[in-house]
Amino acid sequence: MSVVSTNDRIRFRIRLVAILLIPVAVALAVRLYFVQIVAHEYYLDKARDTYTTTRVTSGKRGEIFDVHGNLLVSNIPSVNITADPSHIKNSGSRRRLAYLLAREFPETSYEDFFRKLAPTRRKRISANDPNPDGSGFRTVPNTYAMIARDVSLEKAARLKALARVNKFRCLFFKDSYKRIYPKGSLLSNVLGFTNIVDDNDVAQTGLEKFFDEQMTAQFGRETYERDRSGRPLLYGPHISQEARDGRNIYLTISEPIQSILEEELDVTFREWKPKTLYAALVDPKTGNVLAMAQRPTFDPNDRSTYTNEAGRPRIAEDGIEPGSIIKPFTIGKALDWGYVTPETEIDCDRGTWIYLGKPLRDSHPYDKLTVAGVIQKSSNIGTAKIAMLLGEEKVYEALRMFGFGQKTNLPFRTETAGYLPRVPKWDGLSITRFPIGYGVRVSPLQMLRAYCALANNGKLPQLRLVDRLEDPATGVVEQIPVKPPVQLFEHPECHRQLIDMMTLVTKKGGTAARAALPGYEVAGKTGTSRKYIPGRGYASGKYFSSFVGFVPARNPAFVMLVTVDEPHGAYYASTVAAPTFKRVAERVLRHMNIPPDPALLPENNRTRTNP
Amino acid sequence: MNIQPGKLKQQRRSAQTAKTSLGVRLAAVLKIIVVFAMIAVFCNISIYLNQKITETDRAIRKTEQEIKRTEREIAQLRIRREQLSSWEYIGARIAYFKLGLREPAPGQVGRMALLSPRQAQMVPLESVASARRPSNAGRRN
Repeated sequence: MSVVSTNDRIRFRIRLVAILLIPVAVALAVRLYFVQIVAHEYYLDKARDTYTTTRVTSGKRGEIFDVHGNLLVSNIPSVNITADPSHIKNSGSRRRLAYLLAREFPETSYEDFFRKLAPTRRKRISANDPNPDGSGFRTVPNTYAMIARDVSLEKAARLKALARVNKFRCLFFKDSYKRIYPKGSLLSNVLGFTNIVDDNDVAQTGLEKFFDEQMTAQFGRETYERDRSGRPLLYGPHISQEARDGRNIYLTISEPIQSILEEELDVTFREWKPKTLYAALVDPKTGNVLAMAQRPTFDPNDRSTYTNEAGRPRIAEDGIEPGSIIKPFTIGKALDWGYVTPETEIDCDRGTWIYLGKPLRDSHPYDKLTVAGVIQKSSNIGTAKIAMLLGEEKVYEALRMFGFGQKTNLPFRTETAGYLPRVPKWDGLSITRFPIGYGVRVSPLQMLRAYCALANNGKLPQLRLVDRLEDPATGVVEQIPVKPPVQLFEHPECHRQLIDMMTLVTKKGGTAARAALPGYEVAGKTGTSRKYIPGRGYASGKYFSSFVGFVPARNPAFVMLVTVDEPHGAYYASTVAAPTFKRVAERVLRHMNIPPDPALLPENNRTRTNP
Repeated sequence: MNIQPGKLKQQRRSAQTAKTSLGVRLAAVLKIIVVFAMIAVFCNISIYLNQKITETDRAIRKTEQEIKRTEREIAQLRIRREQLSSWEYIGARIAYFKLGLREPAPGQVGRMALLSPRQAQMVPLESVASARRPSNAGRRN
């Protein structure tokens, strides 16, 4: 019988424990090796995924300013309010919250909010998931409800305070920006607007659409390690790619002049109740568009005012038969090319001239008129006969030279090029009709550009609506390049003679005496044309009444066109369009601080004649 | 690596005899206390600094939020200013209060510009002499 000592027993136990522990230790070591060495990258990535987060930040869409830096389109800070209804404790809280929200947002009813705040919702079951009750739906916690978009900061702050007091922890307030047009309907047809799609601004029309790529902000990305509550840790990688704001656009438009124009167009719109009315002012020396407006219009902040007709920039899109306002171009080039002089007499056939079996009439019968008289009295027969002297090729060349049939390339996606057919497509009557503004289609912008050439010593400028683009982050400015103006008159004195003739239009005996401004010499031309409706011919009793002019005639500050489409009560341009020109010009000249010529003021003239 | 174990053992034994006195024991205890105290101080400093960093970080975040909030308020006020300075609004106010204001005639308009000293040097003196302020030669009206 062997004697087992206490020491032996202890030794045995130690060995036993060792035998048990060593494999465990080995297994742990192997596992440690596997985790730390073999699968190190895998677990590191997994851990990183857990505590690393990426936040997408968005910049602001570019703004639009006028030439002086007045804000026309911007982004106003706002708050989007959402809720997690699954956090609402009981039905009483749900009712109280719905009541509170309905009080703050009266446009949504209490019932709608109560429905939105339901703690559960029905979710359609996908084909692979079990469908125990056969309804095709299952009930899941409702974790998201949109309460209100684009809430003002004040309202959001008030609601936040109310939520805190009432312990509504289910409301979430997310900062955002809303596109805003601080000047309301001012220039709205040109500026266009954006819509919200998936929390992003999506350009719809106008400059917003044309310069969408430049104005769209670039998203930023911030990647960092976070703590349990989502706050960034001080240590650890922090990769940040800044969001970039979209580029700002500076227009050539002057807000004060635009406002004057819009106010006066409102007056004309009320007075003559036309179908449409548009007008624009351009600086003839630079081609800068100073103002551009149309009626009817809309307020981009209130989409209920929007209609397709009000929204599209008709001044660039509409091709109209211009009528008599096109006459100076053929006559001007006839002077320049030496076919006529201002004193050349034209037989106006006492108001009716039959050519190729078709009559051409003047509004008043004239026997003989000088070329200056043809312009002053706006004789159709006189102009047609001057065109006959030039011949078809020369008439086409003259009109083409002034830019008719060619786009102005202003930033409008749907600008019309108008219609000026090549000579082979002309019929026998074209030579008598095109120079008086029938049979051709011209956009108001093309007409303005052509008049700029007359006002700018015969040099045709390129029209400009956008002056520059600016990167708000770096301040880098990109100027929009301008083509140098093209000289259209070979003999400057002929150009001056033409201007002299055009000043007669607004003087006593001219067709637009109502466009005359005391103290200023106004050069211009009226045009009243019957409205051509495709497929139906010339509409009876429907007219375009236009006036284009520039002032002061010898050193013009601006060229202005006013076109009234289907005025009611009267239709002659001298009655409808010329007074609008006068009212706008008077105010704009004051704004531009262009003093009247004392020699032209009526009181000084009286003093001189009656000492 | 210990290559003289016998000799060291001897020395240790003699030292133990010497350290039996109370002073030696106290010195040893003191050393331990000092070491622990230093460790404690380091720990405290570390905790204190960490706390300060966290507090500062929190303050930075709070300030950042405040800046963001203020910037948003400024952006909102800027738009409000633009709305209030629009011609349409001013015109409506003029009509509402029946002020009867109208644009001045060109001769009635005077323009004033504040120039930097550098710009002012380039302006002919006679054109501004009457408006020049003696106390501020660089700034002219």
